[in-house]
Amino acid sequence: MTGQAFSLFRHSSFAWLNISSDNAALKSKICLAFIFGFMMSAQFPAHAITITPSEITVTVLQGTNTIVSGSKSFTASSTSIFYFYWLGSNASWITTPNQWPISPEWMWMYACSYYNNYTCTYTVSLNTSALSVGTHTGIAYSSIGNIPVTATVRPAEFAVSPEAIAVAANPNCKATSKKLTVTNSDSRGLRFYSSDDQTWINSANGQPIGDLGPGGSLTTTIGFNTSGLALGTYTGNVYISATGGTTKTVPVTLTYKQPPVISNGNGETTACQAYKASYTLTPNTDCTTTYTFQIGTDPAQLADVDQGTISGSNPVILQKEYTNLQTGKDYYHRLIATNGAGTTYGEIVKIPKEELSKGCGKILQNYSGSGQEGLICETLKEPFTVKATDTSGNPEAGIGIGWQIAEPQGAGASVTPANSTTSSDGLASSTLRLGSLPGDYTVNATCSECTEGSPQTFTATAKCPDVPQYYQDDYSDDYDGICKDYENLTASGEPGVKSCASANDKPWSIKDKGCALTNMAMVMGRYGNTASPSTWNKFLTQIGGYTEDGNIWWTVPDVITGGGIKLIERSAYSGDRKLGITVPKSLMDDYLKKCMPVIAQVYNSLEKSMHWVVVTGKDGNDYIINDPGYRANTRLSQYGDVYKIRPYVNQNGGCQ
Amino acid sequence: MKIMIIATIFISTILMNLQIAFAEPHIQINSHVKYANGGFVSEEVVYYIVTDPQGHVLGYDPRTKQHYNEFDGGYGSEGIGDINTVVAGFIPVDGTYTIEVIGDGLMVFSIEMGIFRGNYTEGLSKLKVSGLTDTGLTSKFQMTYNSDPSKPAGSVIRVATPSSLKQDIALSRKIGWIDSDGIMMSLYKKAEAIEKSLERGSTGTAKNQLDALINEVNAQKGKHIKDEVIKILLEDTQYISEHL
Repeated sequence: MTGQAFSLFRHSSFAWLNISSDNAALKSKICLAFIFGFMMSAQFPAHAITITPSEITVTVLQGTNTIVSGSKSFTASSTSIFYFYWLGSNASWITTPNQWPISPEWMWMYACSYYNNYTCTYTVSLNTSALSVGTHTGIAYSSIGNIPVTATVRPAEFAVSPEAIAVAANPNCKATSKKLTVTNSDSRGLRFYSSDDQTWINSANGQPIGDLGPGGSLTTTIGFNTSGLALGTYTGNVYISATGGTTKTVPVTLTYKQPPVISNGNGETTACQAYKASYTLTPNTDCTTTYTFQIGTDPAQLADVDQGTISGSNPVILQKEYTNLQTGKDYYHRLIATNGAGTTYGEIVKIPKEELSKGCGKILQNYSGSGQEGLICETLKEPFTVKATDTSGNPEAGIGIGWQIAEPQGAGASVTPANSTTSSDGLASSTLRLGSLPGDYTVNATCSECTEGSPQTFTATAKCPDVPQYYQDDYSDDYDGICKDYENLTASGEPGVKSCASANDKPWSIKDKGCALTNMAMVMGRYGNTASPSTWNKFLTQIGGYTEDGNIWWTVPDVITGGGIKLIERSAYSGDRKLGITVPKSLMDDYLKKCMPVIAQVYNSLEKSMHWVVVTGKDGNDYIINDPGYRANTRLSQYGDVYKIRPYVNQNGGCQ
Repeated sequence: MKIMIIATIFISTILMNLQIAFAEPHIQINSHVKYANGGFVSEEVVYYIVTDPQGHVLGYDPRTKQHYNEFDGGYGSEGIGDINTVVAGFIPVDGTYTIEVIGDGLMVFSIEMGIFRGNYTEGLSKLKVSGLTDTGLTSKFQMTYNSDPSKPAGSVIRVATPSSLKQDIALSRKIGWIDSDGIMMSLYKKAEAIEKSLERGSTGTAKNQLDALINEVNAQKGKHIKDEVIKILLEDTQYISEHL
């Protein structure tokens, strides 16, 4: 604080005397001063007076006092006597020098002007030792004005570590002492004391525990005495005080006779048949705690597998890796811990068997269903089944199996489901619906988790549906409307063919001329129509399905199925025996591969006449036929060349 | 009625078993060789050539031993027993097809045409023509296919010229369907006169001559000319008359 000038002119008014006090003595002093000043003013001229400092501001450590020095100077315009005197203060903690008129101050002041160039020094005492931490204000009164006084009381700066003490003890484990570290972070040296508020806490009981300069530290020991204590939890405080009385409190908790506390943490599979369990053990004692790991497949009969000890009361995480566990079984584990207060049994935790098979080898086996036979487009009677096991042969549940058609592609075969999961017995199944092509089918079962045996291959054979066999000699029905022409015999000497004109004409029968008709009945039978040649004959007669010479209109199947069964007619399929043109038999192969029978024109060399048969399949280089006219003929080679083929395609695909 | 019921049940059964996808149109043509009494001649066939509306040809010409496969379809002889037929089958397009029957010996022939427009409720439409031919001679027919369901599926007419008219008259006598040389010659000369009138451009005269020939043919009905010839000759004269 810099000096602030106060001006005083003696012949001016008394307004400068800015004293506000209810104190009667003070008022009395002031009154005398007025009187005295009035008398003196008649003798002395006016002088300018300055007092420095003009206010007092200090910061003090809690519990300490301070002394403030200041000076008074004044200058007179002539050698004259001037009087200065203190009038006290408004706060008991502010003490001014001797006060007029009780003390001889005025005399001394007089001399001051004379001997000391009119400058004197005075001391104001601030008794702050009893002041609380904070800011305190007051006023020192003098004859030339008020001097504001501000005292800021601060606490001592220091730290205590730890900030709290936890003690665990039991009758078999005496409580150990704890140490507190005190660090002086103040700017001045401090003395420290310790005390407490409980009989079971042993501190210095208010006695000094040491002196520390700025930045210094010391360690003090706090003891505990549990003798005579009942079981339970106790709390108390340790107090660390510094010079001036600044105090820090360290709360103390004493746990007396608590058994350990166990909590289970997250476990994990570390390898095949290995599992690492985690536990948190709170010893609740500063002494030794013993613990035991237990595991087993029967939660009621767990076996000890390992033991250990820990010291101290801090919680610890204990981990135990259980190895060589059997797959296919659930396991249970727990931790048991004992301290002087008793034994705690941790919660029993289950290890699912699926966890134990993680990381183990898994084997995929072909269980059942392979090698079946079925008709094209049919669903096989038995599903394909795989079995997944571990390396010990135990079933593996929950293993994902993918099912794929390997061969043939594009035949419309399917497996249901396409993905499955092994059940508790390790089995997973899928059923094959054969496609439209006859032959061998291959299905693969794959297991991405398996270490052996994947994929497993299943096979099945698709056969063509049978083409029904009809023989035309089983049907003696009149055929078409054609009759025997006895006027014009054929080259073989048989009656010719003419349209029936009179009741005397003798009709030809299916038996005689109905090979093409019977073939059509067989082809339609392949596609699900069971009408006999006789029924077909009636129907074709009704709808005009015959040509005038007793042949059939080849598009009749198209007509009656709306194109569902469609005649395929190409130049390549047409030969001409009279011209010596044959049709390559291989042209039938594509149809036969799709189980589509083909009607073929052949030459019957025995009867020297044209004939129709149904080719139903292939047998090596030969072809299998359904011959409507000759029961002994089952192979196309029995006829030789083919002069025309009439394939009928199922427009809806090979499957019916 | 009984047959109708059977047919209905039959079709219903088939359609229940076979889901209808779509149907393509199809034409099948069968040729037969016949005796004069209508019986089928065993082991004999008559070939023909089919020309589609675009001029593509399918068939076999026995004169040149040339096969034609300019549009895809089946063609060739086939048979049941001793009775053979030449069958052509193809997917038709709208327009007029020409069928030219080529003789390989004196014969009566018939041509059947089965037209399926892909509508199973409509079924097959059948057409039939017949004629006479001999070695190296031809007879022409025009078959029209129409896919418009509001119109008939097809029709067939005999294509005639004064020359083919003369041919039919001569062959009819040769095969015995005209039993008198005098009548044959009378008809033949009328046909020659028609031919000459047309060569001169005298269509009016030709028309009158055609009428005279028709009158004579009709006058011989049931006498010296069989009905089969009358039909052929009247079809010939009608075609010529319509194309004067």
